[in-house]
Amino acid sequence: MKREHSKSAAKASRRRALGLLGGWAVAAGGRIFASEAPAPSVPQGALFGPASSARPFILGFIRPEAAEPLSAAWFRRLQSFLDSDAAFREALKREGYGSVGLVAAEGFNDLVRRMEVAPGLDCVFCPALAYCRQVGDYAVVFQLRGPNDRGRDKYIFQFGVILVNRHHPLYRDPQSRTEQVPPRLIARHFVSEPVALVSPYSAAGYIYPCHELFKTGIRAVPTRPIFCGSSDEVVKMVLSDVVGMGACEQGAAEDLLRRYAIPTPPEQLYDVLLTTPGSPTDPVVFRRRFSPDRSELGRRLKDSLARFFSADRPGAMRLEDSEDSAFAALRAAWNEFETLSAETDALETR
Amino acid sequence: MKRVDRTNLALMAVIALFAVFALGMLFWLKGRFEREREETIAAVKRHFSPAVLGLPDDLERTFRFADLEQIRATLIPHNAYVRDIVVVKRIAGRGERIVLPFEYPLLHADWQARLSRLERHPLSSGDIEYGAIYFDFDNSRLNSVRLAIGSLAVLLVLVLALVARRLHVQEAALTRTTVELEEKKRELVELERLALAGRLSANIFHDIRKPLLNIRLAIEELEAAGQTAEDLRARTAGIRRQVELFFNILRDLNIERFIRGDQAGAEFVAVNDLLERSCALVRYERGSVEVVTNFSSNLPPVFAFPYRLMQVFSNLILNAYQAMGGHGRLTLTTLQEGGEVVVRIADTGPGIPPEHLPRVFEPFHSTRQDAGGSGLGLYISKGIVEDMAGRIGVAATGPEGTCFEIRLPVGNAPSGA
Repeated sequence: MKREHSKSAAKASRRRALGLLGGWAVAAGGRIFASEAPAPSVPQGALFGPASSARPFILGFIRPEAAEPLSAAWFRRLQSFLDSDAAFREALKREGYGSVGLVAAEGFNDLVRRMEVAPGLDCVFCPALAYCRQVGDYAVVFQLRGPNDRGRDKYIFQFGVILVNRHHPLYRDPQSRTEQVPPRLIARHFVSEPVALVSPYSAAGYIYPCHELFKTGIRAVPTRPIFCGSSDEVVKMVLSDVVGMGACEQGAAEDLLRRYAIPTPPEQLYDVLLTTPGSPTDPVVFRRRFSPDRSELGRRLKDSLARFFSADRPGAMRLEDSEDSAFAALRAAWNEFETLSAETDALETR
Repeated sequence: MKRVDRTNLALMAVIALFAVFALGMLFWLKGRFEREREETIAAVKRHFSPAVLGLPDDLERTFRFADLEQIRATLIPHNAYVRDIVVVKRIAGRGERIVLPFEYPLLHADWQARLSRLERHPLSSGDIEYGAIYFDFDNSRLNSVRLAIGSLAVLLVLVLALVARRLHVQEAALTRTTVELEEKKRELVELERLALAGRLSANIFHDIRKPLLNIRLAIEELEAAGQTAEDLRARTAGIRRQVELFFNILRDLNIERFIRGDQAGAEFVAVNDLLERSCALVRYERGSVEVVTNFSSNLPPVFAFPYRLMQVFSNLILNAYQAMGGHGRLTLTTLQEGGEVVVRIADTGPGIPPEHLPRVFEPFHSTRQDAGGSGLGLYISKGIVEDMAGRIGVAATGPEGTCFEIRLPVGNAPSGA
């Protein structure tokens, strides 16, 4: 009975976290729409851009957790930039499009649905898992790298970590960290106590840590998950000892300590018990028929985006060329996680 | 010197008034600052509602640090009363944890001591305490006001102390002056009495001259030879009678005690008797004045200094005789009205001119200065009567005469007697 309750609580938390992911503002044409505003319909209701009789070329997005600088205002600037790119506009006209429009998805599932349902989105900045989940016809063109002032911008893979604070029973003194903490022990704590996690659809902050602990043979789905919305929030939850254990993107804790000018050495504040395999950073996908290798419009769009992202200013995101195969491992891990999770649920139900 | 003192006192009073006014303003300002501070606290607490911070057993529907930091960034930099806040959240089974700024314990090794110096305001929802806010108040405004209040209060106390000291000094000086005045007044009474005695002495000498002459004549006759024993006895008996007469004159007048100014204490005296003795004392000024007495037969005694009261009566009777110039009628009346014995001394003289009436009891005021009046008789009489808790005044005056009235309280010993 208690397990049932925990399971429903986890699902409820996942639903709330979806709301957090979708709780973002869209700005276009000088207007700001708060997250509480009614969801825009596709395509006309969600379209923010110059009115035109021709169909608009639609950029879709939600708030990508790994790329916080991608705000609604940032997308509005991108929209303006594309609109002012003569070559791209010419290519749009040739394909029968009028202008560039923006669609803000309400959350993870909403974005997946919009990518699958006609007329769909033409270019999407989406979380890695959303790309793996959707069954629409999209091709990966870029991967987003982290902001270049965080010291992690050379990575296009991100790693998940499970960390505990210095008050947690699994915390090891910095001198005695040569030995690994048994994964089964980590798993037992992970399952039984409140754990701060990024979101139910975060590869580094949920799926990969769970998937890694599944290998111990324990159903490592937290019974008291606390989905915080970002790795920053997870680290703050752990460091402030609101919870003792958390899972987040690797480097987030060091990054946070640096930004808050906390002088204490990181190893004296927390202990990383487990690091997951790398998962790809969030992709930028084009509708497959606009894939750069087969479409002039796709090539023009790729060039424009590359130029837009080339500005080397602090905090700016960078783009890295990528392809579908970079996400194969993540897709596999997700499927396995779903399967194992479902099997364990069925087992518990019996 | 007195003018300078008054100026100083006025200046001090102005400073004290200013200080009181300024203190009032500062207390008002202090109250206002405290009210605004309380409102700020309430406003900050409203921002950290359970919807934002979550309840203790509601960890899954938790807060976001970014939201808390946003609230702090919005509230604190523009706040005149709060320098910073530290927010703690209560978590079921784990106690309280600092959630804003989350790095507080990481930045300050002595964070617990620091926190204990801040002012804690609990956050509650109904009976559930779900956290607390520690306020680091910016008390500079309040402290400035408090300092100003303290300074002004000290100034006010100093000024009041100076005023009190000055008043004390002046009161002491006034007391000294009053005592000196009393002394002078007593001296004046003595002098006036002696002056009266001096004026009476000529007539007394006239009276006692006659028995003395008779004594001398008798002694001369005794010295003459051929006196028989019968003659000798008759002569010595004559001398004894004259000597008795001499003593009788002195005894009747009580002139010796009067001149010595008998300082015996106050006693219950019969006013009628004192009036008769006073009449006898000044009878040499009577001339052919008719004296009419209209005494109440059952007059109660008064508590008074008898020889002083005699001085008053003698003075008034003597004045009446002199006003009438040896002809006329002096009417002495005594009666009781309520709790007072009333003595009226009325003459049939020309009366007091209206222009002199308001000043008859003032010192050195006399209409007979050419006749040897000192101008102190009525003034001193008034002082004596008032010392005995009585009153003296002119009951009536006009061409048909003047009537002085003295009212003395019946029976009870006057205070200070």
